[in-house]
Amino acid sequence: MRRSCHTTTSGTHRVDRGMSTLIALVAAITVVTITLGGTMVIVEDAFRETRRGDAERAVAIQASDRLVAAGGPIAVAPNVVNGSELSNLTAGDLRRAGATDRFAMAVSVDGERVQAVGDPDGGHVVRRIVLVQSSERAVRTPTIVGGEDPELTVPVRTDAVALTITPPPNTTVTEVRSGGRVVLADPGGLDGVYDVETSPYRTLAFAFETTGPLATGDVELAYEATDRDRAILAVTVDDQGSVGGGGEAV
Amino acid sequence: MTGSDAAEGGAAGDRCDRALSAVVGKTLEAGIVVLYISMLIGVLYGGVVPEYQATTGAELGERVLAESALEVQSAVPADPDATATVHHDLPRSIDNEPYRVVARNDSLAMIHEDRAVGGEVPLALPPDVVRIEGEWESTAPAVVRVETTPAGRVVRLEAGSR
Repeated sequence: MRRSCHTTTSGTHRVDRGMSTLIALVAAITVVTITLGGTMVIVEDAFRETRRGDAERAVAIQASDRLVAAGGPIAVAPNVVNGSELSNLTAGDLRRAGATDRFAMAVSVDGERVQAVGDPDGGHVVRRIVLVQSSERAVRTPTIVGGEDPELTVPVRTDAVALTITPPPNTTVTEVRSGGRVVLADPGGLDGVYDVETSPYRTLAFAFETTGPLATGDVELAYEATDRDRAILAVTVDDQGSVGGGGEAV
Repeated sequence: MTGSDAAEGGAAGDRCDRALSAVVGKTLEAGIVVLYISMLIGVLYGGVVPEYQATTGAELGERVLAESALEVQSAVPADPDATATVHHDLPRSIDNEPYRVVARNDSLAMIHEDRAVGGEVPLALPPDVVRIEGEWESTAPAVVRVETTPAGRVVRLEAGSR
């Protein structure tokens, strides 16, 4: 037995080899652990990225759809909103469009906040191009040249005009024609305010049948001037029931 | 001689343990590996993997619910007299469990065994829609049906046929 022990020579070297396997094992375990830890960090990051707030996205898309739909609270036609109704948008309108205590919502036009439910901080933003229709009453005093039987043209297209005729004492206006069609007639003389329907497809033009001259200031026109401006309607929805879901705010 | 013999004996004793030390060493190595792997399995399946599954389930649930809400909303035509039937695809299960999508109080809610999965998304429908009712089972095909009634339109979530 002892002899057999003696036959092996490099004993210490053998022990070192045993140690070296152990060291290799520890090294391998360390490498595997580090790799696993790194993988888990990457996976955690990936999961954090996936928290994108689909619910708030869905609510924002729905709300923007509802606001610009023809039957919506502020729209006069699909994607055309009434300017004054837009600025008078109420929180109740937003609640009907999907805002709740959990989903805070803000509506802004060209970056200016119009109305909000709650205080959305971040969240999902849906932007849409809309036409903002604004109408205001325009009053014009066209220049009349020619004295008797004058004609006037106003570079405006509209479907209704309020015509104010105040003839001078020695003049009587008996007939007003627009586009060859008689729109007002009174042999006894026209004097006062008259509502006239006109064609929205051609430039406004009137011809007057008068006895005696008519001067500038004797005829006044008032009409609804509608103007459509392009604007960006942004609907921000922030899901305040969930953590995360960052993004931008308007 | 005796001194050297004793020294040799000591050394020989060490050397004789060599056979034993190899066995102990190998056993130790195997033990470490087994311990390490079992610890790894314990950590992964005891905490990390279920957590990932739950997170994925919650995310998927929210996404499915959001998609469903958009689908229901876009299924309703703008024309108040129009009806519609739209098929919708739902994942058969989330986190290995079937679930339901229920319409209630003008919103869609997801009912799932795991409370972390689910939630509620409000629906914004045209003003002439009087109510939305019905529910979808994840295991059956999902259909949105928009019907006209004298009071207005009704949106129904129904099980369709394949």
